[in-house]
Amino acid sequence: MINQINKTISAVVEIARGMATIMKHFFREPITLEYPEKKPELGERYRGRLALLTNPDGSDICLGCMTCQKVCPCVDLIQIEKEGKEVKEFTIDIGRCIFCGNCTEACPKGALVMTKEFELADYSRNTLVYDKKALTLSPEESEKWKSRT
Amino acid sequence: MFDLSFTLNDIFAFIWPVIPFIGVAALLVFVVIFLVLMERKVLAWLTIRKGPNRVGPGGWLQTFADAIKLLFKEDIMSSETNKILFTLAPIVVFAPVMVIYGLMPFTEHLVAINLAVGLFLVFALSSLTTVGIVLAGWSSNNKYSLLGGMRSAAQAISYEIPLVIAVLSIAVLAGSLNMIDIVKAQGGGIFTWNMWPAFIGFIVLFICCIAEVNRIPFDLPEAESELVSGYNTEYSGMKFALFFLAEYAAMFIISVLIVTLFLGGYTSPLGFYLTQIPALIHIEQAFWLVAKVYTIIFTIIWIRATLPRLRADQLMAFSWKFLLPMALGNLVIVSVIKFLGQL
Repeated sequence: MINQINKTISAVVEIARGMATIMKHFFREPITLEYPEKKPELGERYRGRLALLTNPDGSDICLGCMTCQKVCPCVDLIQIEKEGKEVKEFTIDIGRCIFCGNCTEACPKGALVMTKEFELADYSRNTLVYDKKALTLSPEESEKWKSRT
Repeated sequence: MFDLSFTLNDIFAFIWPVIPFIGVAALLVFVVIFLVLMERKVLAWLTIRKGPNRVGPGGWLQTFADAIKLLFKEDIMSSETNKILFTLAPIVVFAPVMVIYGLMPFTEHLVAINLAVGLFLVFALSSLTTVGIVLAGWSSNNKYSLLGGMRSAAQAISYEIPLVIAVLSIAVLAGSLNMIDIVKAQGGGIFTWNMWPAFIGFIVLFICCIAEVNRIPFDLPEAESELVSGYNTEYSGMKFALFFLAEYAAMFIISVLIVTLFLGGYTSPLGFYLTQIPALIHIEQAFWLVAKVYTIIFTIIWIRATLPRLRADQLMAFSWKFLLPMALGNLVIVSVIKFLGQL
């Protein structure tokens, strides 16, 4: 009998504590982020889509040294075509990229950066293969990224 | 010669019998539409979410959108079901709930069917709902539905006994089974409420009522994680809407019942009415009732946000080993209080 009463009292106390905790939540701001209207705040080192930086005069920083291709864990993800000393074509298949960031760390010139762009959904795999034109940032944007690192 | 000149009273006498039925039906639908939204919103706020916020301003039209969707949905009936019982079940669930609305005193005069044994009829009718749920479970020809129906029957039988014994203490206190008399007996403000002498009964009735309307933590008949959706798994379209309507209508009416029996019904908790004009007193009575009812409903939603579902054996043991002795003890205490009060 005493045991029963003790159990009842402790159960009531515990339920009351639980309900008090839930009541505290009632006055909290919802943690829901309404995504398409409100974008999440991304961290400083967020690893989004890869991009190529340019010099202030618009010329490439990339030398075409192929280091990024060597460190990339996804086989032949990055493809570089050279014509003499000039980098003619630079393609990255974003559809297969695992966003590891190895290439940005390995690049001796710091030409590759990971932007904060993450809305990369597309209708076909082919459109996810970004060529040099799509990857290269404008000189102004490049300055912003350079000053950040 | 016929006298063709109608007085206002004649017209009123002609319309009066029809008004309660229209009123009850309108009230029921209005209440349910608001209640579904309120539950979703409050439950969201209690769990740090936002709840429906897309349809209409702040999501307040979400239930209308859901209702329209349910109206236009295809009414699917699988080939192996018992067609007659399958169609009958939602009606059997819904009809008693609607009648109970007519029995409840919303204000002093706003009670559609004022019976001397109103309280008795309320519990007789609320038991009928379970028959409909068992019918739905059995006629669906689906193991989940059947299990849900069986659980509902077991649960309703177990919880009806402490429920009725707890209500019996109210009959002892008020000396009547008429709902209006029960309310009038506790009309002298917050300290004359039946809640104080029959406090244990109030707790027992509250728990049993949550179990009767199959709400968390007693939602075994429609446990999503175990039985898909329980007895209404096979239902769609308007038939499902009827179940849904009945469930929320029952939740509202069970709150009205708790308020009427234990919390002074439509009377003011202050002991006097704020307004002195007779016409406004009715509005004030309705206001007090609605305020109390929504406090109870908020508590029910709050409990839903807090507690997990009981196991089937825990459910049974809780009713038979705990609630029933408590209800009987409460009846003894209340009887003694009543006896001493009459000395």
